[in-house]
Formats: sequence, structure tokens, C-alpha cells
Amino acid sequence: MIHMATPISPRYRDAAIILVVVVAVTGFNVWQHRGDTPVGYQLYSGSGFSFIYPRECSLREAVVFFRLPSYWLGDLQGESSGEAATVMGVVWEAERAGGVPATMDEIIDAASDYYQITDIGVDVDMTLGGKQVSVRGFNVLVNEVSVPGLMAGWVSPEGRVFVMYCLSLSRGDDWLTFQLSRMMASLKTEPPPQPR
Amino acid sequence: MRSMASGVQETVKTVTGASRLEFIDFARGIVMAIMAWDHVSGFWNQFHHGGEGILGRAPPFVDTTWFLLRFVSHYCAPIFIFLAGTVLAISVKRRLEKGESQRDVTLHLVKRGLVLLFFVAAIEAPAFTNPWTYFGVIACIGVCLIIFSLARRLPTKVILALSLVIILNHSFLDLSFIPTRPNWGWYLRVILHEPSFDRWPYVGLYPIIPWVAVMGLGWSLGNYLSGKSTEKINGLKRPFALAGVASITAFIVVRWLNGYGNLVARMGNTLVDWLYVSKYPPDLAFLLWTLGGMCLMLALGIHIQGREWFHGGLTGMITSFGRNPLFFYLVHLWLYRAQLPDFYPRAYAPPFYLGLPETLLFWAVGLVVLWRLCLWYEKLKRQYPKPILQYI
Repeated sequence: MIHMATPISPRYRDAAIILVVVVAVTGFNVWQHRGDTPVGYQLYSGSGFSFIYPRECSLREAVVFFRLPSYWLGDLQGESSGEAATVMGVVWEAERAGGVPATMDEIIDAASDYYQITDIGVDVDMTLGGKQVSVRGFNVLVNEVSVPGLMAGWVSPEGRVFVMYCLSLSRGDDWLTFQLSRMMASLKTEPPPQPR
Repeated sequence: MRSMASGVQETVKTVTGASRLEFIDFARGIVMAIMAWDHVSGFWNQFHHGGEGILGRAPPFVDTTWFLLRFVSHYCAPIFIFLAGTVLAISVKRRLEKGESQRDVTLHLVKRGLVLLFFVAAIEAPAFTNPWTYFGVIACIGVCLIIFSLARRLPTKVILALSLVIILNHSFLDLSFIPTRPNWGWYLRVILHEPSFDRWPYVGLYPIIPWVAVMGLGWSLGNYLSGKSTEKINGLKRPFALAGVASITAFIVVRWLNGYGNLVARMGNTLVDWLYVSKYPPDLAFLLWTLGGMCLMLALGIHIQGREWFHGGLTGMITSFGRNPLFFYLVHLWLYRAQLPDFYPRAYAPPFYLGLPETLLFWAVGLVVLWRLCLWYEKLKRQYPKPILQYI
């Protein structure tokens, strides 16, 4: 018995070819780029942790002169300029008495040497970027302009306090929360290279 | 009012000819009117702004109302560019059928693209107080026309496949091999795939790479529609409606998964979180939502285009916008801006801000003025069918 194959309409054949090509190219790309940094962000990696930050903020190490960041202590800060000028940064140190609020207080005290810090809010515990953090709002007076800021602190499993902060001239709390949330979500830490 | 309606009906009968494609004018007219809202609000409202998704940035809106008043305008660019591709395919086919040579058609498209670039520098960019180098939606369409002057020779299935590949994969594109320090490198990146306002005057919002693919999808639809009978076109109502629903469902899935297809991640579960998608450049979620909406508009247009009242009243006004998209675009900018050009670009600010009700009133009155101007312009084109007017 001879089996007669049903002829496939050229229209369906073309559609099937297009579908296969598109799915194959897209599937390959999705797989190839599955761990990529999101568009508009850059990845920082060093001192036993990594996180993403807005790419317009050029991040640099050692805000405190002469101090090189290490696994247990350091800070990074980046800024962008223009109408929507933004400052973002991260400070980390070994957890000490007082925990996250103590580190936040220390940052505010250090910044107060240069700027007037106003409207410091109470710490609010919340989940941000999938991490349990304490969030504190504040304002910085720069040339008589009040710039709103937010900071969020988290204790890593290996016993480091990470405080991330973000200030923006014109973007408001939603944007600050959005960025902090994204930065916190991307924060990954590694075990210490040697026992403390 | 009655004489106005009959005037429109008369215009439609004599200008459009191929009345079966009025559903395209209808869909395009809707987005022209919405676009006018976006621009009048941008010119005169303190809380209206755009910039969603520029390189992952997400500027805040003061509340959900202002967000939605901006969000509704997301339909404009994708539908404008998609249907530009559709109409282009139909028009190219008609020209060739009329006996124009391939060379003449190519030259016509190149000239039309260059004319658009001139309009950007002379009319569009100053209206937005941008430098003449601003790469906006009209510049993007102009360059796409020049690309299609050659790409049109490819088989439709190849254009369709390439367009889908670009739309689904452009977010993986890495242009970092182009240096940003010389300004030409920066500008090239802005034009190709990285919308930005960071380095004046090399600014732009509508990069070619994703948008040429949207035009390619429209081109494929135009080729599919060409030569179809009125009955077959009417039979497309259900497929368009289903495609629209499927596309919007896919949007919900992409936003829910919150990974691939989202250049701006969903940061929570509020309405704003779900709808806050990247327009600059357009991510997959953005295109699924807007092109899904377009399919529903096309289905609605097919459903009502045969009705007696279609050519009068509000629908008549909308289709008159859709028949004259470029004329509408160029005129509405200055009508709603209502100010002289700035001699110091980037210093744009209205002399005072309007509230929401006043802006809505301004928008509505402006639409009536634009309607009459579109009818006048159609009449003018009929009187002078050959000169420069054919490019507008």
C-alpha cells in the first residue's frame, strides 16, 4: 500500500520556517545572555561582593582618602550631573554593636561635616529587592536646595553591614526606591577569603 | 454642523478611492488625536513628562492619573510607524502597477525620506526646543523610508522574519564597540539603538534598529492586504481582534515573568508597576501592548467602516486625521505649542502652566481646528496633485 503524504501549503511551510528561525535565534540569545547586567546599569564586582548600579553614575572607590576598600571595610560612590543629578553609593563594614542603624548614623555624621542633613526619618524595616532591610529617608541641603535621599541597610550572611544610598535632585522618592530596590536585589556576596 | 459632515463625506469619496482601507485611516486617526493630547499636555502641563525607559531610567509621575494620561500616548509611535510601513507597501505596489519603474520608486522613497529629515530640522525639532540634530519619530521614519527604498526588494517573508528577529532580540544588542568619545560615535549609537538626551546636541529618542522592524511588520501586513477583495478584508475583523487579545495576553505574561522582554523591570504589583514599560527604546512588553491595541483598533475600524455614519461626525474627523498624518503632525506641534521658536534651545518652558481641564479644552478645540485644516489641505492636494505636496 502506498502512503500518499498530504501536500503542505507553501503559505504554512513559509510560516513554519519563519517561526522556527525566529524562535531559534531568540532562544539562543535568551540563553546566551541569561546572566547579563540589565540595560542601563553597570556591574561592580570586588571586595567579595557585586551589585549593579545606574550606568550614568561613574562609580569610584575610596571616598575616604588613602583608604583602599577591603573585604571588611570600604565605600564606593558615583555621581551623575545635569537636571536629574544623582548620587549613589554603598558603604560596607563588619557588623558591630548597634547593627545597621549604627552604620547609617556613622554615614550621616560623616556627611554632616560637609552638608546640612535635615528631615532624617525613622528607620523602617521592609523587604526591598528581596532582602530584609532597614530604610531611612533624609534630605541634604546643597546650595540652599534640599535634595532628597534614601538609604537602605542589610546584614549579609557572613556578617557584613551593607548600606546603599541614593540621592537625586529631581527624581523623587519613587525613583530612589526603585533604584535602591534594584541595587539591593542585585547585591551578591561571597564568603571571606580567610577567617576574620 | 451638517454641512461640515457632508463636506467630509464628499472629501472621502473623492480622495481615498480605496474605501476598503479606511480602517487604516481610522486607526491612524485615533493615534494622531491621542498624540496631539500627549504633545499639548507636554507643552502646557507641569506634571506631564516622558522619558520612560531611556537606558533603564524611570522618572516618577506625581500620581496614577498623570501616569495614565501619559501612558495612553504609548500607542502613538508604534502604530504611526507600523501603519507607515503598511501604507508604504500598498503605495509601492500601486506605483509599480501604474507602470513606474523600480528606479523611480526607489528614488521617490529616498526623496521622501530626505524631505522628512528636512522637516525634522526645520519644523519638528524647533517645536520641541530641540537642536536640528534631534533624532525623533519623523527622522526615524525618514531613515526607515530610505532603508526600505532598497529593502523592499527582499521577499516579504524575509522582511517579516528579520523584523520579528529584531523586535525579539534588539535588547541583546551591544554597541559598546562604537566609541562614545568622538561625538560622531555617540550620535551613531543614539541613532542606532541607544536613545539619549545626555550629550547635547546629539540627542534622540527613536533609534532605527527596533523601529525599522516595526515598520517591517507593517510592510508585511501591507503586502498581505494588497490585492485583497473587500470581502476578504472584512473577514479580517476576527483575526485582528484575536491577534490583539493574544498580544495583550502575551504582554501580561511578559510583565508577570518580569525578565526577558522588560527593559524596565516591574518593581511591584501596582497598576503603574505593571504598565511602566520602556518606550525608549521600545521593549517587547511595550510593543505587545501597543501593537495589540492597534489590532483591536483595526478590527473596530473594519467593523464600522461600512456604516452610514462612518464618514461623518467624530469618525469622519478621525479618518481625516488618518488620511493626512504628516500634515497633521507638522501643524499640530506649532498649533499646540502656540509660542515663537526659542533662540536658546533647551530653555523651553511655557509662560504659564495650564490645569488639566483647560488643557483638555485646548486639545479639543485644537482638534476641531486641525480637522478643518486637514480638509482644506486635502482640497489643496486635489487642486495641485503633482508638486511638493505629494511628499507631505
